[in-house]
Amino acid sequence: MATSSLTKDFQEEMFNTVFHEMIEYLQGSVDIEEDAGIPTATLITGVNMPDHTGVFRSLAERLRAQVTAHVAVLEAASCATVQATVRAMVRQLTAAGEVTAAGEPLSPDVPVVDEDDEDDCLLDVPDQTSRQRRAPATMPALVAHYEAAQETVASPKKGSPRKRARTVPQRRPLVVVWRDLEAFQPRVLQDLVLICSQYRTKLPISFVFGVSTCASAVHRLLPQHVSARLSLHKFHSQLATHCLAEMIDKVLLSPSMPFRLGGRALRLLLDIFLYHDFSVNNFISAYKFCMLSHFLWSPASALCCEPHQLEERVEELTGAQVAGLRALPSVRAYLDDLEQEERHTLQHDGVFKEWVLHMAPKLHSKHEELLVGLRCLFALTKRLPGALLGKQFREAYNLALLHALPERDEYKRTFQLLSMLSRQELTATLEHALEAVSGSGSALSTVLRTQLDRVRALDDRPTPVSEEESSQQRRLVADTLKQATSRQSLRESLQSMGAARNARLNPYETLRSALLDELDEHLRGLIVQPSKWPFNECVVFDDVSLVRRRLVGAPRSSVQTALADPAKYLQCTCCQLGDAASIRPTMPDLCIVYKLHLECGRLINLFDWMQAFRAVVGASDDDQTIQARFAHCVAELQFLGFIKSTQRKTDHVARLTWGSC
Amino acid sequence: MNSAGRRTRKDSGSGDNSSRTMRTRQDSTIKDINGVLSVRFLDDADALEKICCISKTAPKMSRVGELLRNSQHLISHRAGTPMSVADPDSESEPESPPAQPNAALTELNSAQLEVEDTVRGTAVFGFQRCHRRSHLRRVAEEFAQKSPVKTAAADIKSPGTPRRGCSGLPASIGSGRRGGRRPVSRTVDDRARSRSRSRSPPPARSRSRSKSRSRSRSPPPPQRNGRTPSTPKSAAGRTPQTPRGRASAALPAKTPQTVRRKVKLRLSKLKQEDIAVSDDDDDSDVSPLEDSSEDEYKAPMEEEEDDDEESDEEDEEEEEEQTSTVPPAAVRGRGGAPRRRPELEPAAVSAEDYFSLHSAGGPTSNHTLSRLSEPRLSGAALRALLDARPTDHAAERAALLTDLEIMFPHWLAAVSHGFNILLHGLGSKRDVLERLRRQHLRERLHMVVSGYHPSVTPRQLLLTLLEEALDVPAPPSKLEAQLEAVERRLAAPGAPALFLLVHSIDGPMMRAEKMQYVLARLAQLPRVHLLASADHINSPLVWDQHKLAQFNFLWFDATTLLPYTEETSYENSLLVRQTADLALSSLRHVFKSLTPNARGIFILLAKNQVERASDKTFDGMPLSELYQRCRDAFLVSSQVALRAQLTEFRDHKLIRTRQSHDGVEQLTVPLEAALISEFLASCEDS
Repeated sequence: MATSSLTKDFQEEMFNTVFHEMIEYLQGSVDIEEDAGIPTATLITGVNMPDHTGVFRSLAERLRAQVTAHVAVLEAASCATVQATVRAMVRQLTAAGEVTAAGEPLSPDVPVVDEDDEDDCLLDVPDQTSRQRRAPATMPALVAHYEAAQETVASPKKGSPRKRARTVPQRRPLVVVWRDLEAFQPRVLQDLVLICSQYRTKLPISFVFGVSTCASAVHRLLPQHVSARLSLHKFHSQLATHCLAEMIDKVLLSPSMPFRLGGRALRLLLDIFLYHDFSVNNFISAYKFCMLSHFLWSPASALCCEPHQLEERVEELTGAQVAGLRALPSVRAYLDDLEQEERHTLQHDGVFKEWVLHMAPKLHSKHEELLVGLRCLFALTKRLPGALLGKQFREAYNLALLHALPERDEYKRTFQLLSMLSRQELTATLEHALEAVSGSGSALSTVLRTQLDRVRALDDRPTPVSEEESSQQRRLVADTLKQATSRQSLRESLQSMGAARNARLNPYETLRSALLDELDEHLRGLIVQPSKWPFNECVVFDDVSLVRRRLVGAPRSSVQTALADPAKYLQCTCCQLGDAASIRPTMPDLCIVYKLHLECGRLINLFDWMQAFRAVVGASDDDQTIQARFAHCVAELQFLGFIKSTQRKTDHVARLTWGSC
Repeated sequence: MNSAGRRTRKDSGSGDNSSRTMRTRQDSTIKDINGVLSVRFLDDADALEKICCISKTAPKMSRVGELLRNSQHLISHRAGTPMSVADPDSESEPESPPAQPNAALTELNSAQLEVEDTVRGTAVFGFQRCHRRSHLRRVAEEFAQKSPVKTAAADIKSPGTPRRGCSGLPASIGSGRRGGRRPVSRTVDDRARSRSRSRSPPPARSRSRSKSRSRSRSPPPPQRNGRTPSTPKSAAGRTPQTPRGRASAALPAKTPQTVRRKVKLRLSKLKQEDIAVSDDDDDSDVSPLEDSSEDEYKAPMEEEEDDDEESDEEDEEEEEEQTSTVPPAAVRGRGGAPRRRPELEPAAVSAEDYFSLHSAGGPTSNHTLSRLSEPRLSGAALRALLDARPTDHAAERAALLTDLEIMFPHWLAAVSHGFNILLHGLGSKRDVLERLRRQHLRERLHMVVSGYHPSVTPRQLLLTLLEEALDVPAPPSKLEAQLEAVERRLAAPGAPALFLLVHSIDGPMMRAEKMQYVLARLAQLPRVHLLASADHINSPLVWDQHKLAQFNFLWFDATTLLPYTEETSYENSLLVRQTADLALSSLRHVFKSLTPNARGIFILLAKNQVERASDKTFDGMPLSELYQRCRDAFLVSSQVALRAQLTEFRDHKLIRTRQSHDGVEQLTVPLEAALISEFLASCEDS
């Protein structure tokens, strides 16, 4: 699947600008005078934690490539103490330096080695670690190492001349990246900052703080005397919503992608993103899952491929598959509309295959048309009050997938509002729309262009009302005024006159309504809900319940359903419940015990509980066996977390849930 | 529908305020019967509601039927294609001819209207319950003992904390200590009884319970399970749960005609608004958060604000109505029905329930297990008894398992695309993973982690992984380094894919932050495929968002309903007698490594505890007393030295310190007296 590469490129691109700025800052940081404090780039990353791994990985890669070989990425989990932090930092800084100094390609997972495990590392990668082993991981060692490295760099013949020319400064900075600053121990962080500022004269250390909440978090973590040693610079990374918009535009809507998400599935994914985690990575992963399940589950997905492969695929279709395609709801609906004869000919497999070949490529062009129409419509509504189609294009797109948009109120209201625009506004709006669709090369752009021309060409001056007409009118007014006998009749006549005048549109207004009608017609032709396309099941995946079950787990509800009504899972006739609260002796023991415990309060008397159990299951077993069954069930409930032992009262257990669950 | 329902709820919540105030006014006048009152109000509301919702659902049904038909075609077709395997889980929506729901609806309509005034209020209880109740009464009479009931506030852990009492203990000595922590011996029972005898006799059990129920203002909300597809009877689902003391509440109190008319009018208005507002969204268009697992825990807070419980109930009723139109009998293929039905949701858990549970100290009887001939069976006896008994629903359970087996290829496919699998649902999933292992993973590199085992540690896991699975000759000892070694080993070209099967990823020891960190790091690796099962109802709380993203789970409902035999065997069950062997051996183990002086101190402490075992007021040995005695025995020379020893004991969980009410530190050995004396005896032998 091409998605992974697509998404990867896209993520790289997303952070291009902010990384560029940061790198410039860090490159310049070497020249900052020493008493100004450690140059620190605070990268505000946002709360979408799951995405950060990728962000920092690519940041480190870029830093290594463009700024310095000495880059250390620190994570809170491995930096519990100052010692561990210093060790991790020094190891990474020196290790990376050595590798580049040796002229080897850099890999992101350069081994970082602890003192204790050198033996096995020796076996693994003896070449690199044997060198590392000599230096202990301390700051003085780092200084020594750095100075040695500088010398080798200063000597010629290392690295390509072009690269050296670019990294002009003689002293390359040491960059320490603190991922997720809030997770570090404040003490460790403070000490590290103080230590590094001590070495500032010898080592051009600079920091990158990854902050996910807000910039003031740095000051919350560091007291004034520590933060005074830093010279902070703030950088904002891209908003996650921006990334998502880009991602949808570049991947989901890309014409090269044969697979499409259905409206409900897309809405679920968007909801997970917006209300759950803000994570673009998770969105991508969910999208991948949708794609996977489309190709795994849906037999119609055989036709979901690049247009040029289609012929081959259609040839390969077996009889059963063709029958399946014929049974697709959209196809059946289409066939039902056809004439009897035509339908009859399509019963033949060969004819049907040809027809498939004819229809299937249209799916892609139809999607393109839909997109063009939507982009146009979205551009038209963008300046209207109330954000009728939502503020983001994805909302409009989702709406168009879910409903037949031209029949919706939003659509009608858009045109109502458009028909009230002044000339300047209309021109601007049309220009916007033209801009939105210009790249597509569809007929709509030419329509818009001619419309724009017509609006512009319209004579500016109001059409002069002919002299005689106006005099005639004046006379008419005078007549009617005279005829008015009562106040009410005067009012009525005035009103009717006003209405008559309004009804007469000026040329701009006539043009506007004509333009809008034309536009409406075109858009209605373009914006067709995908579920109406024949064969849409081949490319559109919309099994929202499957996606929800897989991605948004609800373990508790499954457990409780099974406990409260086991017949739903067992599919047996003996445990069918009339009333949800009732208990049947045939149910599994665990369910009976669970249901009995629902009737209790906070504390449950084990003995009484067992008696109740005995009463339900009847006297089929002897006491010992019933006791054993009960004991086992209690243990299971405890394992599941419904009850726990308590010392409040002898032979009682405490309930951990409340209500009827 | 859910989303629509929610909206409706909110709307009516705001609009219903005035009727609510009216009701409260009434409550003040007719205090005794306010429970009934609200029931009556509900009647009026429901009558309207039902009609409305039936008229609302009617046009929808044809669409539902169509959908169902479509899915059927899909399935039947899919079975024929080579690329797909029959999937019990994906699309087997109950098949129903479109006429049937309509018929059901009309039937429901008439039944509902008929039943409306008669059934409401009078509880309908199954035979089993009556039978059980009579049996209970008989037992109660047999053991009639007018002992008072007074339950102090139990310290129920908030349901948010998934840990059970025994979770944090190290494996070596944990079980021994755990065994001792429960004072379940006969002596304590006696004490409790003698203490309680001094209080005044309580009302009979059934009476007191009904009292506590009727104290709450409105009848308990309908059981969420009330949404089972059993249409006409659904009215009974709403009747208060408790059978006791129904008689008094069942007498209908007539609400003044005027009030009823007003309420009716208002409700009908509200209803019309609602119909206008709710759009025709599809049932399944629920915001994902609404039925996510986390929502369960949020639910109480949400509903706390939503103060109008009545309207809440009505809406649930409505939902019930709509889901119930799918006839259950037509369900084909197991698993289909419940999995399709994630809207059996915890939304019905109301915050009120929580407070009613915690405010009233529900009195319980003073019966103890000592009434039984053998209060606690031994583990072996228990197993023997259970094994001798044929299991119920054996065929159905086997079918559940085989249904899951069909899913194996799909799991493996998903796993190979970078997802990890998490199985949830009731019943031991050990067999499922075991079958998967045997059928598909024999030839591949895999490792099984038994998360329910009380001695799993992250370090041990990684060591095993490195040594056994990855053949790293001398693995490093530090956790971080181990992780990196694994990562390095698996990143090497030509490294095999590793399948990690984790039973109970939320087991007692697996809940530790460190463990989940290690697992998440491993799961993130492209060559590691994690297949895990989760059992605890609060298991999702173990993971934060970052970890969840690292795990990248696909959730599968793997309900097997098999007994958790293996999993619970490590748990110190409440009703199973602890075998002392384990506790004793671990104690000996630690004891052996102590210095002679430290041994002396411990023996001194233990002896003291054995001597005073019968003393009820004994709370432990004060530190000063221990110091005196130790000095007398030349075991320590200063209090500092003693404290150093005690710290070591505490680290090994040999002793427990507790501050008494006057601030004196008191030391106890957390084992039962019998165990200690056995231990002392064995010490003297050696």
